[in-house]
Amino acid sequence: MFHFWTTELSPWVISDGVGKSMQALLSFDIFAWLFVIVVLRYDVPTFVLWIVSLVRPRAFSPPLWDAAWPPISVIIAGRNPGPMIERTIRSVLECGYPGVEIIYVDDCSSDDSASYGRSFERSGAVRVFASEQHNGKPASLNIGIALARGELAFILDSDAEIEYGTLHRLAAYFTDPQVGGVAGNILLRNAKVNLLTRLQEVEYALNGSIARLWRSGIGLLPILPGAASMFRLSLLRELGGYDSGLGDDTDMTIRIRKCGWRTKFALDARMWTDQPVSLLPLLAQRIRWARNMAKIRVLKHFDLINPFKYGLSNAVLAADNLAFRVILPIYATVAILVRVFFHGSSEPVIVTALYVYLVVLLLCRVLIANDIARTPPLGDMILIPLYPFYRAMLRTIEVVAIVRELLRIQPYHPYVPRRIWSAMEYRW
Amino acid sequence: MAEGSISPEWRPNSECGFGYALNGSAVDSEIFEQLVRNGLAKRVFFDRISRCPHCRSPLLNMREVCPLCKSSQIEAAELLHHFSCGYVGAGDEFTTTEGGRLCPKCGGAIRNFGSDHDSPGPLFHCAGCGLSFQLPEMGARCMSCAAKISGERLTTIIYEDVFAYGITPAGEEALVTDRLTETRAAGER
Repeated sequence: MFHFWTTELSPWVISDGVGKSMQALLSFDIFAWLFVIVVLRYDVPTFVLWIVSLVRPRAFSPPLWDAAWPPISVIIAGRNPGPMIERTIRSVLECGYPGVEIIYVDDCSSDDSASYGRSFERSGAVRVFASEQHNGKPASLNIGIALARGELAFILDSDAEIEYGTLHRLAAYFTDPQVGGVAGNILLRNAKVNLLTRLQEVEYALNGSIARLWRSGIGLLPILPGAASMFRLSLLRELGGYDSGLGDDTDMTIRIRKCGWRTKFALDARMWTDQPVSLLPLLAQRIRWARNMAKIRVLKHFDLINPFKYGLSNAVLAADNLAFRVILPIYATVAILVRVFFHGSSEPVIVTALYVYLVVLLLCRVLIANDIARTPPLGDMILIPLYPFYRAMLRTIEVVAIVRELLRIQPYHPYVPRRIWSAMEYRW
Repeated sequence: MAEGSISPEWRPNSECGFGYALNGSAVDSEIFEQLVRNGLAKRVFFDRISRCPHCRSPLLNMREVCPLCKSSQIEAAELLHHFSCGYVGAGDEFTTTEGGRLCPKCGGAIRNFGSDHDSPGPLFHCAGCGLSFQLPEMGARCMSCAAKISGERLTTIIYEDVFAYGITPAGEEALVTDRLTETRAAGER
């Protein structure tokens, strides 16, 4: 039967690789089907999103807000941001939002960061709290929450800049009384530094902006990033602020979703941040993120997968995470290693064909992302042939970090101060 | 102050807030300034007084105020950080029981400062507007004309140095001679 189809199809295909890859699909080759699953999971939603954007051009704009703008407290936690904190604070002061207050919580910086912040205090809109000891990011944000007086709280990284109008666009989503948090759109400020930052720019566009946009649209936004997200202050207080430990943003997002609140993504609420420019810091960052994911999504909040407790959408979110960020990467890595070691690379034609498919699909996704989100720039398309290797490298590193975390091998991370780690009852 | 020197005395009810006395009698500082000009005395810094920029009164009540509403009704507040759950809140949010204080977020007991909780730093709370802040501002209130001065306007406060005078023997003699002359003249009348 399968032989019939493959032989019958062969005249219609344009290369031997396409024919063989089709044959692999029809003969239920596990790798070929993994490829299909990945396409269904990552590419199809992007194409659907594009069609939606063509049919309803205003579908991704923030809701209209016709009342007085609610007061916003911008909470910035930082440790040694140096003069960069000035740019961050200035971007908020000049973003055009009326009645904004900025609280900069300095986490015992060893440089002059607190002084840089204090230089803005005379403006009346900025308050600085300089901690006497290193408390970590969650506690620093909690200090900001304790001091805040707004109706909405905007959590912003100390080395980030927001665009004019960003706070308006985020705040507008809170017209929906069921929205508890809204994520901003993170873009790379240093994208043009080198090849690595340009690849990250592509990644942030495809896996950040566009992925969050369609996931927000169907109620499956998995994260309100700690770099730039807005919350109802009353909700943050009701939850007692951030929990101690790693992965503060992932954890807060899940806790909010568990309470039944909606999470949204604001495509037009742009903020700019620098990302690693060399390989080792990038790998360290991704290892930390992967560990956060395993700690928070798998170990701490595994019960999110229970649809009777937290609803169907949360169950889908948890299952999707488990399948595509834990099981599939681990399985694929192990299976590829086993195959290479025990069978050699026996299907170079199929692998090449899959790679070509992947690149073509990625090029389409870049075009769609550029059309919808104006990022990445089309000039980045020339890098797309390298992109699968970049992602494969990061995925492999992440798999190691995830396995390590799940097996609880050296679970301590220096991001959490030792004295706090020692006192934590559950060391997520 | 060394022998042969004249120090000012604080006189809150006087126009300039201080004055000089010699042998129990009030003396105008201009006399000492005259001695300085003649090389018979030396100025020695004694203190600095602040005067109201509106009425020049030295009766300025300097105190810490809220940076937002400028109210002086501010209190030091205790901010606590519970390590286990990350909660940060005012000390009075932690309910006190026999077993210690309980965290309002996780219900865990906080017992040992430094090992299960600590304070991130000093904090003030304004009873006037509700603002919490780490560094209060300085503010002044004139007790003569009731003007409030704070923030940028603190730079308008008039500062005036007050001096003691180290007088040379020749200066002392001149001073005494002048005084005797004045006394004699008064007796002749």
